[in-house]
Amino acid sequence: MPEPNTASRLLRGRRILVVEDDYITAEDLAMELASLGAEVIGPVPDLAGAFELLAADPPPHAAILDINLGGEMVFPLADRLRDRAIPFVLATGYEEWAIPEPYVRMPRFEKPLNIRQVASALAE
Amino acid sequence: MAPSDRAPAWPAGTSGMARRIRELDWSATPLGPVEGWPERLKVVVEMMLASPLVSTLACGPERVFLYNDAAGRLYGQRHPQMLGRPLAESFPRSYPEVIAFYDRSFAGEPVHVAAQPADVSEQGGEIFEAYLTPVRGSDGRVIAVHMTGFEVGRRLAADAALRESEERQAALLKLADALRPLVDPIQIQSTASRILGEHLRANRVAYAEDLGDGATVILTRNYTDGVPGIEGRYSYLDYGEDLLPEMQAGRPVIRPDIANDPRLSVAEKAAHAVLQLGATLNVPQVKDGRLVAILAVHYRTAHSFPPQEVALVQEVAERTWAALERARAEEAFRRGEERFRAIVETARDYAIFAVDAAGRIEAWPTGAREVFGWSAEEAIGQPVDMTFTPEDRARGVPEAERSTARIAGAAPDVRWHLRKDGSRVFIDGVTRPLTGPDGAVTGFLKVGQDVTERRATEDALHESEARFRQFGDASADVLWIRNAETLEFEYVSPAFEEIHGAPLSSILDGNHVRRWLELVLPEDRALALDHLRRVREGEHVLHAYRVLRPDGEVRWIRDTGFPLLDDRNRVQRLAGIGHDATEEVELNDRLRVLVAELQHRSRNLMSVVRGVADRTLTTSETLDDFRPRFRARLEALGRVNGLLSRLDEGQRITFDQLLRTELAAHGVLDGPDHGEQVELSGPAGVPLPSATVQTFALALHELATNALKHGALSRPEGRLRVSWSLQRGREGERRLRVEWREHGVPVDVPDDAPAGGRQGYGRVLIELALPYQLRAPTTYELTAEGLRCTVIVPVSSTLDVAFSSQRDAHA
Repeated sequence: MPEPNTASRLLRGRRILVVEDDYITAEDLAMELASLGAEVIGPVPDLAGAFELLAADPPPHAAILDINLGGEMVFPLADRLRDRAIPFVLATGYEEWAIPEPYVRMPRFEKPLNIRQVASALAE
Repeated sequence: MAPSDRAPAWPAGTSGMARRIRELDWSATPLGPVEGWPERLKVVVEMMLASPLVSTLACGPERVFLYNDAAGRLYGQRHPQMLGRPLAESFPRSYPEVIAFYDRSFAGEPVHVAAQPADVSEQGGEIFEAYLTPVRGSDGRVIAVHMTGFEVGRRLAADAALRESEERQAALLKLADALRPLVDPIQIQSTASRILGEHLRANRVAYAEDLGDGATVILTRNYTDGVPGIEGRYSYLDYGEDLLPEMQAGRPVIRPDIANDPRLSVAEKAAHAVLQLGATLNVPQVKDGRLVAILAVHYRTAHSFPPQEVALVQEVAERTWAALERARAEEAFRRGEERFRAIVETARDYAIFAVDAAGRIEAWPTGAREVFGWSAEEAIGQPVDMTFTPEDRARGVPEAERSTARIAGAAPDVRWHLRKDGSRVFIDGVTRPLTGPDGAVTGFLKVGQDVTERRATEDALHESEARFRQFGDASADVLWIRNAETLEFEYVSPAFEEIHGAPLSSILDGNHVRRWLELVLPEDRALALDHLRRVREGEHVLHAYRVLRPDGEVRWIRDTGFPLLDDRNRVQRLAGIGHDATEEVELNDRLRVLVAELQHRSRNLMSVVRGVADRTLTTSETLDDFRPRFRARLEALGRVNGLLSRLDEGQRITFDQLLRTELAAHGVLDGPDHGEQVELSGPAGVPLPSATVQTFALALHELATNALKHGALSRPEGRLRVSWSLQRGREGERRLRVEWREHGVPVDVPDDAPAGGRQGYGRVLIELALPYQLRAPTTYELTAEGLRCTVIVPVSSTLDVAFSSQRDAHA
């Protein structure tokens, strides 16, 4: 794989928590984030693991959250991140109407993810 | 003559006058002593004394007067001095009138004096009828005149009174006869005036009516004879100020001589003179204390108006008034009768007729004819039973009806009746008894309306209602109708109870809107009410709301509401069809979930495909190398997604299904549990969580691919054994343990061995992906025998029952 140029290393030095239950997707995402200079925390397939990683020090700068984690909804984690003012994006295969009302306005990207859009959202 | 010479005393007898004649000294009279009287004279004297009648004798040229007791009683105070005195002295007043009769009789003529007024008594005024008879002496000369007399004044007066009374009666009879046929008030007045005027020989008779203003009278007709008519209005005051008050008091005002009447002023006399009134009689008619009319009798000259005339005029006035009253009453009665007849005759739809006590038709007006068809000639006298149907007659209905009417005062007569042509007519009526003055039932009045058409309409209406009800009863949806004003239900079909799980009475008691709203879920109530409001404003509205059944079940009602308009296009009612849409709504919800899942799954699949592609690309030397491996992996993904898409709601892919599909795709399976080189053993139907099957399938695909390429299936002597069983995890959760074991083929160093930092994808999936994704403990070891790997995965919790039965079956 060619080395990305520095201009594209949007996420250099940023710790990004990846919560995604599908191994293949999670590995793919982690590789892409790494290629943009991010330090990937995880990936982790479930809420329990995610909360564990969140407790570590230093905490992540940002997070990418799959909504449906093998039947378990990610929203409690989203709530926690919001409480801690850690920016995050939701990654989902669901349409907007399938998302519960309180979470509709959270930043959301549809799968398959365009990593550059996601990175832009998380770079700030 | 010496007393001794006297013969026995003459005249004999004990009567007063016999004694007086005996005792009188006749020698002092022109007749001289009794002894000298001619024998004939003495005989007549004796006869005179014996007569019970008034009997007298006038004797000699001096007309010396003798009389008997009857005459003495007549002469009163003048008796007895008159005896033996000349007539001229005894009757100084009437003597000149009677002397001629006596002279004629002395001349020898019997004289009849008819009804001669004579002052025989002191009072005078008697009317005397007498027979004078000459009494001759023996020489033939008239020596005396004998008189037999009768006082006829009283008889004459009675005769006159009788005659007058007869005339009055005749006049009144004539009046009665003349007035009887008259009905016109004016004619009655003028006829009465004429008859009275002719009878009284008056110059004018007028009937005048008081105008009630206390001042004037109007005279419309008068009878006249020799004077002009005086029709017109007159003021009472012009004819003397006592005229009106007197008449108002009911007293006749009599003015026998107006020209000389001291009570009248000059002006009043002049006013009378203009009308040529010499004498007037005004007889008032006072009714209920009010002066209503005057009957006036006028004479051109003075007239005395004796009491009987006044009485007659009063009588005529009374009778005229009575005739007028009768005419007015008859007129009123006739008008009332006409109106009544008109009412009965014009009531064509109503049969109003009368039957007698025995039930025979007595009166049969037009309405009855129209309704029943019989003419009056055909119906009258016939039994009313003929208007009843044969069935009713057989059941005794006509008699029962009359009996009820008799007892209860009215009997409803609401039933089919028979017409003349045999057709039937439905009568809605009543039968009432007619009673005589003594209260006895004299017959019956039947009043009935022909309501055949209305009944037919009502029947049609009932039919239509029944149809509607049938429709409503059969409908699985709730049909409802509300009053637009009150929003109360006018109709709710029975499906309501099935759908709402509550009796209809629960919304039809009390306030309909509130009761209905109470069934609606609180959060949907505002919307449901708004829906009603919009329908009331004329909109057609389709909306859905939820109801909570008493059993706790929530149902969706999809209600189509629409207004029902009256003929002026105003909303009169609201109507609607409430459909139980619960299943549709639930299906819709499921479909939405399925679509969401499908979206989710396909997007995830895209991520997986991208990951697989990247992974395959990084482990491929060339594109030719890449293509078959990538394709094979896509096909494996395709197969598992095919399985997923064929699942029904709630179903899961089972492990054996996944395994067989994968092995069959690689062509190594020819039976349910084995191929030439393959042996499978384990329970069927163990469900896998959906989230795991894709990765699991890819792992199995990689294992099979490697076995074919390098492992047990790459040579005929190699064998693959896959066995699986259920076990419990540490926390009691159910898990599936799968063992993949190859043998019979010595192991080379395979491509996928960890070499050059590249792991085989199968091994990656087994060792990394499954543990990551399924928290599945896995082993992967290459032994000299061949590959041996184990996977322990959670079992789907959704089919515990199936799981239990499978485990039991394969224990």
